[in-house]
Amino acid sequence: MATADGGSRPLARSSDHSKALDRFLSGIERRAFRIAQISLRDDDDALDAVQDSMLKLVRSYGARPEAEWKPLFYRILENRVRDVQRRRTVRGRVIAWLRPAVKDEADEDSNDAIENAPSDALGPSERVQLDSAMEALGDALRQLPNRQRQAFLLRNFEGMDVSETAIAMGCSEGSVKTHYFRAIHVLRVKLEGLAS
Amino acid sequence: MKPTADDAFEQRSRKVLDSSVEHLDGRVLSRLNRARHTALESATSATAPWRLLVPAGMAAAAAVAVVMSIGVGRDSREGSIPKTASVVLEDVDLLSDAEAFELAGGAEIEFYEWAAAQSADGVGS
Repeated sequence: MATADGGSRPLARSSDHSKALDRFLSGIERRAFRIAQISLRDDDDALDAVQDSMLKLVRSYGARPEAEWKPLFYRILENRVRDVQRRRTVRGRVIAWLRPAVKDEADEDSNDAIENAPSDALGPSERVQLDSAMEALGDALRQLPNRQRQAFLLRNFEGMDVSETAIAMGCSEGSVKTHYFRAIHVLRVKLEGLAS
Repeated sequence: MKPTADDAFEQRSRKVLDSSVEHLDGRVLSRLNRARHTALESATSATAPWRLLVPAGMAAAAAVAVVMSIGVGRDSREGSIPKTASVVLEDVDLLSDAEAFELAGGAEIEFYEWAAAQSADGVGS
């Protein structure tokens, strides 16, 4: 049954329950895609990971209290992302080595673009600016250790609090704080240092 | 409190990430939409097939058990009806009839034996 306080009791199977799930999934799907896409660098793989995670959440955890959905979803998504990464490693180490390293050029332009990134309707030049900023940030995020990247994206981008992030990452709240602090420090130095 | 350099960076990076998802292309949005609907449909259909499979599975398991039991107890002479087979079939009848199974259970048997003896002796008639 849905509760007014955001769901401290399990929701009954009902149309309200379906609507609640729909609202939840609609609310997170874009950010979930972006988080998976940053890690996987491939739209189709990211979309598959998000779809698998949605299915898993709905089938296995849909009856859990609504407040638990977000950390559970991101835990599932992280596992899916890691599965894809593992499969890639097994299948094609050689292919991965042959990928061109094009990040340096993007990094050169990144800092100003991040500072001036537009958030409203985009014209062509703004689009380029945003893409450039996103690419720089994505590259910097991919260079972080997994846990730091995860802590940064869940806290900063998804807006989860420390305890939710700890559930999603399967670690203590203290670890979340440490990973997040290190991620912010490294990213700031990397992205701002390039401008000066 | 004065915002630190970390705070400013947090805000800028969040702005970049938020903007990037506000302007996802149509193909991605369409796939996300389909993924969501597929997941939600699975919520309503996930339990029904499973529930249907349980009785079907139990019936299949019972049939296999009967066939195997008859096979094990089969007399070596072709065409004869083995004694063990009829016993097994009686057991299956008993198991499939919940009421009969209850009657056959535990200390109740003594009562039914006593009742039958009474009846045979004409007691209460």
